[in-house]
Amino acid sequence: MSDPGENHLNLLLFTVGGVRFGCDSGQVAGIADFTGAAAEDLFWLHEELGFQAPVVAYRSPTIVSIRTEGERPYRVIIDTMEEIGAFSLRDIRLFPALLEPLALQKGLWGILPRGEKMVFLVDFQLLLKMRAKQIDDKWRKEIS
Amino acid sequence: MASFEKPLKGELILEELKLRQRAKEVVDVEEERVKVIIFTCGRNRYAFYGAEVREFLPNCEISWVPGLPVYLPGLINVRGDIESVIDIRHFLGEEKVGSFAGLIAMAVRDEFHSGVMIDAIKDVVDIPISTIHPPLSTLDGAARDLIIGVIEYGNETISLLDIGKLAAKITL
Repeated sequence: MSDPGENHLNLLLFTVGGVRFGCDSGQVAGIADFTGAAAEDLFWLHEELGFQAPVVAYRSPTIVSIRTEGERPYRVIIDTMEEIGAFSLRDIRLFPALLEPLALQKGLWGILPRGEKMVFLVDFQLLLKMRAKQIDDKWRKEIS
Repeated sequence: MASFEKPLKGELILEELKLRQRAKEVVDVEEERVKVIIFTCGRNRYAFYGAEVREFLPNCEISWVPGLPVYLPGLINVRGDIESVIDIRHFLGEEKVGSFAGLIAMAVRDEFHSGVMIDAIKDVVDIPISTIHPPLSTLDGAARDLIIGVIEYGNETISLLDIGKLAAKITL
């Protein structure tokens, strides 16, 4: 994430399945249109977040490449990008204590209320960490 | 000659009346009462302790959060504070409805606070604590784990739900 000493965080806001999300733009290494080609390092965000809806429609699927700092490559497909901007840290709320552990398991760490709606802030590097652990566990199982 | 040490008959009667008065006052001391809120949820009525419900919120938009269990439908914004919402029907064995048009009861117990989805408030009553009976030992079903007692309301027996038990079920 951006320097926590700052009072603002640059966020990339987007939607998936009608739900609004945001991520620290500092985690984004690049953005490209999704051409339909599958790849081992490419994941649909609704699957990463555990959407239980049977079908999640994407109007304009877009690939976000995540800065991985030497880890394996990690790219995520999001839907419509809405905005990139600086938001005050004071406007960001934490998840209620009751939900926070579950939210963090899905990489969700905060909420940006915008009028009646809420934007859920996702930490892609946390998702990558969990994804990497899953892959490692699977690999260990296969070789043992 | 009458002895001055022997109490007069009038004094004895007065003393007796005072004793009876005191005994009556003890009986008349009002029984401790507690406020309960009776509400509907699905096909049945239930109650919460009034002290455990901070407020009721109508027309709340619940923001769905991905990846949460079915009994946690999402979050609400209460005057700038983000609160969780619990679908208590899941624990009461009540049928789930498609769109929610009821109220959110803001339940509070010690550190625990969360919205709880209910259909409608039926009544708010003060009842003597002695009229809260233990749950029936034969009580079965999904609601059993949440019930702290039963109360009489008209011709009905209503389950009094314990926010503490709900909190224990939800807390991860």
